[in-house]
Amino acid sequence: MSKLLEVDAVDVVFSSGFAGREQKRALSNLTMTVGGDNPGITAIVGESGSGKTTLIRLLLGFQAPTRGRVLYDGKPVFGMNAAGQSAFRREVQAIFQDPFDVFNPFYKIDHPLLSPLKAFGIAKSRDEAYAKIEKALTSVGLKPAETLGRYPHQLSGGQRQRVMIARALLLDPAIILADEPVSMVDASLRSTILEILYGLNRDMGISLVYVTHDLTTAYQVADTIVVLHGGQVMEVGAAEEVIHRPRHPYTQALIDAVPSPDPNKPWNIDETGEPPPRFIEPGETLVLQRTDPLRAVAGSASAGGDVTTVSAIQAAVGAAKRSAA
Amino acid sequence: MSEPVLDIRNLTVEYRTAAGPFQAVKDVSFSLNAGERFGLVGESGSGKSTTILALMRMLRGGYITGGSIVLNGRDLATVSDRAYRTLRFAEMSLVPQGAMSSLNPVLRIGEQIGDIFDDHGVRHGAAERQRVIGELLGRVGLAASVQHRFPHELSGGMKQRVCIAMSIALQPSLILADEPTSALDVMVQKQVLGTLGKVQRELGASIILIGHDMALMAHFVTTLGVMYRGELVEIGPVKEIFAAPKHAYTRMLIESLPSFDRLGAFRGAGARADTFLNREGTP
Amino acid sequence: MRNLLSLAAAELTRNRMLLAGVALLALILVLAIVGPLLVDASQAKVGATIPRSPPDGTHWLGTDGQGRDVFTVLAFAMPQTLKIGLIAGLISLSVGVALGLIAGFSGGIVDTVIRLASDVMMTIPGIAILVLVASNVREMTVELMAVIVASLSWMVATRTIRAQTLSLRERGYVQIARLNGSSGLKLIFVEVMPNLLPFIAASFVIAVSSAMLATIGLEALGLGPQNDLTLGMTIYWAQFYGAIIRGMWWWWGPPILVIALIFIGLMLTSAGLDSFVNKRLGASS
Repeated sequence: MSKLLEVDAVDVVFSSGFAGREQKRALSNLTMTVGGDNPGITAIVGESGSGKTTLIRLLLGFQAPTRGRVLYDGKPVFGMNAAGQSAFRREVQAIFQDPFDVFNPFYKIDHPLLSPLKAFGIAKSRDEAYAKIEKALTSVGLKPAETLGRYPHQLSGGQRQRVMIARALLLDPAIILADEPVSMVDASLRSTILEILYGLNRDMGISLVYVTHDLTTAYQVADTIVVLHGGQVMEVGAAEEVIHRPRHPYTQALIDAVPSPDPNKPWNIDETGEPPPRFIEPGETLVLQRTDPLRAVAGSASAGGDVTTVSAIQAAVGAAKRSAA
Repeated sequence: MSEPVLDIRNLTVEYRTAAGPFQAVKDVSFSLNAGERFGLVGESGSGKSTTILALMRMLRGGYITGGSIVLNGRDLATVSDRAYRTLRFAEMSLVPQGAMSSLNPVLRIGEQIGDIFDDHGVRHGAAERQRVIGELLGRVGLAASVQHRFPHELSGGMKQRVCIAMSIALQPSLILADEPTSALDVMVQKQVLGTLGKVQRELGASIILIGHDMALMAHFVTTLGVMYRGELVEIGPVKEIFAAPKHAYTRMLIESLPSFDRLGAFRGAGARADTFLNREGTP
Repeated sequence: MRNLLSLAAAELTRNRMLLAGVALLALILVLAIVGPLLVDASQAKVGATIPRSPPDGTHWLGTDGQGRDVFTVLAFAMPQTLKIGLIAGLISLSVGVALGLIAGFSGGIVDTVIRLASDVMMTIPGIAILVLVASNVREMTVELMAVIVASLSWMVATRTIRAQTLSLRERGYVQIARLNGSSGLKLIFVEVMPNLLPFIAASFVIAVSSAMLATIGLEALGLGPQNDLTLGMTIYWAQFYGAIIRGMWWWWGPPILVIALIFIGLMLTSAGLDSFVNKRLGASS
């Protein structure tokens, strides 16, 4: 029985200034689920300032919600007992954006691979540890002989990112959160890494949350796409629906902003220099309204309609995938 | 047929490293006519940024060890360092990579743009200077009042457009844009590129756009050059290159572009990228 | 450990200023250790020989106003001064590093308390306190001097280390270490501290320099250890006995020269470390 990581009606508000006068809503009224018996891939698509970084920190327990709760296996992430904390740390892993920053330049790359095995007591001896490490490295397409014993600056960005994926896998996690894992990797290696991530879900049953600003890669890997803007969900639904039949104007604008690799398809670069239109009014709180079986769109609360959550859509997409398989 | 604005022949740039000289740019040749948009695409380590820095004589620790650069009929090797200072921004300007962090955080925008005029001996009275700067900002789609603000008060896209404004202040004939949109959100990227294209067109200047995003190049430039490990492996009209790429590396770059047409199918190189440079030039 | 040594060796070969500074300090250290073993201790006692005589064959640096052989005096004074500087430097550095790391990493109330304490202490004029304490202590010893001086110089190291810790705290590898199950003090000392070693080294050099400066200053005012021979006290006695007016340059000259050499060594090392640290900053940012 796989554990669920749940975000339940969470707001994250940052206050600054004297006596917390200035408030910034990083996330508003978010309810979503990761993990569970039907592991899927959910992509969170957003630009800078959309709240996606806050969401990752929230899911990893590095950021406390201002309102609402984050639960793992039914228990609140903040305030878990030691055993619960340890299980949470081990079963929920992450891959970050910058393949250089995640390595401590003082140590060889063996260090972040050995420490968790020791800290969580997964390997009893150094030999056992290295056996596991070599297996993990091979599974991401790296040659242990060429990688182990090196310093981070001696490996390429793509290699480093794969070492980080191997690290996450060593702990046998149920959930992996990937924060822009390919944006700082050369184009030639992007699809390799994405394929590895996709395989983690398909072959090992790991639930993935893939956070990115790039709609196209989100489309390639995810079952469900969540479009985030200003801390609120603009649209959520099955990948096919959101990309090919978008309903929210923000989603449409995002799709239009991506240049097609075919130079003959027009991209319509607008030379007037008009700023992009506002999609949310400041202070406005939106709710998600279900428009199709596998999709919901943000609308104002007063409009009524079938109010739903990201979790519900995720579940529906998961069920549809299962029945289609 | 008028003579090209920029003519680079067999340019070679070397860096002195602890392990001996390293050739960052090897025997690169291309030329640009007036009003032409040239894209230089390549991944990290391809030498594209080094080429631009060599053009601007802003190399740190690197030296031009071969070839020639001719700008508007003048061989740049014969230009003294002092004369180069006048040349920069007046004939050839640069929108640097990470331009947003190139703005001085303690000076107002108007002062920084004003510096460019002052450095090149262009004098204005106070009121006229404000008017000129306001007009310049208008051309990049910013309000004239932006000149009184500090960089931290502006968004990334606005700062980038300020840098574009600075690069066209003295109406150069060549604009070098080094990854001007890399750090920006997709929608702002489109807008900033639009601004860049507009000012370039209005000025009649030529532009060299450096980047790693082929898709962006496909829709902005007319001629494309592909750089790999310091060499220019392919060059030609952009539509031709996309339709029929000749070099294996170009093909790989095009194929690894994700698009909305495929789901769950991964294309692109699984093999290591250094298999692409075949000495004979065959794929 | 091997990593550290090879890093140090590489930097010393590359960085001439650092090499010069370290070499000079090493030389001074060797002289300080070896010196007292090679001279006749009895020559350093008051009344050992004819006072006020200029340098000659027997007394290489002449004798002082109290009949001591100046060369012997210096041989004993140098290690004492160095001892004060080193002890004071080590104390203030250890306190500074520990507090700086903890403050920078913990944040919140712990950080606020440590920061307030160090800020308040920094505003207190050190010399005034030093003079006050020194003039009221019955018997001033080398060790006591070191402690007094250290207690007023730990703040700079704290602030420096805290600032660096704050910036390193947000690095990706710290987050990864958290995900790897590390936390608390283990996280600070395993992940953050090794990357602070250049700063710690630089802070140490600064701590030793300022400790020595404070010590020598106090001693020249006569507030130093009365019964131990130190460089500062030698200057004090020289001035007390009117050596300058009497033209006894061999008494007040050499200690000043030795002090100058020590500080040049410290300064070169500090400048060399500074360029090393800045290079690393430039590379990693």
